[in-house]
Amino acid sequence: MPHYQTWEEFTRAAEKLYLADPMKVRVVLKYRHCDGNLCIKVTDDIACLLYRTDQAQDVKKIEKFHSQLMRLMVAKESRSAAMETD
Amino acid sequence: VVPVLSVAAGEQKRGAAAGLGFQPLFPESEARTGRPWLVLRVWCFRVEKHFLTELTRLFQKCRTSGSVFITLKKYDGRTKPVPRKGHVESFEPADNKCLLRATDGKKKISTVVSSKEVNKFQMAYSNLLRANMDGLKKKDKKSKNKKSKATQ
Repeated sequence: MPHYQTWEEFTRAAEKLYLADPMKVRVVLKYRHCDGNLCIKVTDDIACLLYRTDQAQDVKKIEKFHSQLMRLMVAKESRSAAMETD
Repeated sequence: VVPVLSVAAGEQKRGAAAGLGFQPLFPESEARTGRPWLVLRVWCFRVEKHFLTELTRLFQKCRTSGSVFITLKKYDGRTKPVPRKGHVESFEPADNKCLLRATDGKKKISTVVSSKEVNKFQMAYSNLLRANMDGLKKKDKKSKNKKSKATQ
């Protein structure tokens, strides 16, 4: 289970994993208020990518990435490919 | 379990227990107009809205202890398992839906978001997440300033 230290690396790997097989991939957010940490996991049950943070500034980034993935998921296949290129 | 219906089914059960049938899903004023398209639209909106209110409740419940898990997955509208080899399948996957689940380890809620409602849903959803994930460390500018002042 690779823990990514930088956000850019994580998003790049996660996007690649998602595009390899969109139907298999799930994205899990885990939030613990009492410990003040947030973790995002992207997995296809073979590879598992993790990014963990306790910084408030990362919430916005993670939430934005989560929304982007949601948009990719609801977009039609042809469109999602087009969205990736730009 | 049909994920899209699970929220509605829960609502129905609760309504039935209170002796209300399916009624609580519709605001009474809307139901009385008797225009089917209007009722349908209200219903979709309600389920979606119900998920968000329940999610807020989940976040509030987990403020002192516990974690909230939110799972996002592409969903093709399948309500039955993939048939074994040799069986004919009359299922056409839709590719414009996603499934959103949330749990605290005990209570489970879920919803399906399709491309039509994604814009509206996402605005409310993003705001909800940002508002509720507020327990993380702030970038401590103040302490840095103090340190730099102390060194001066």
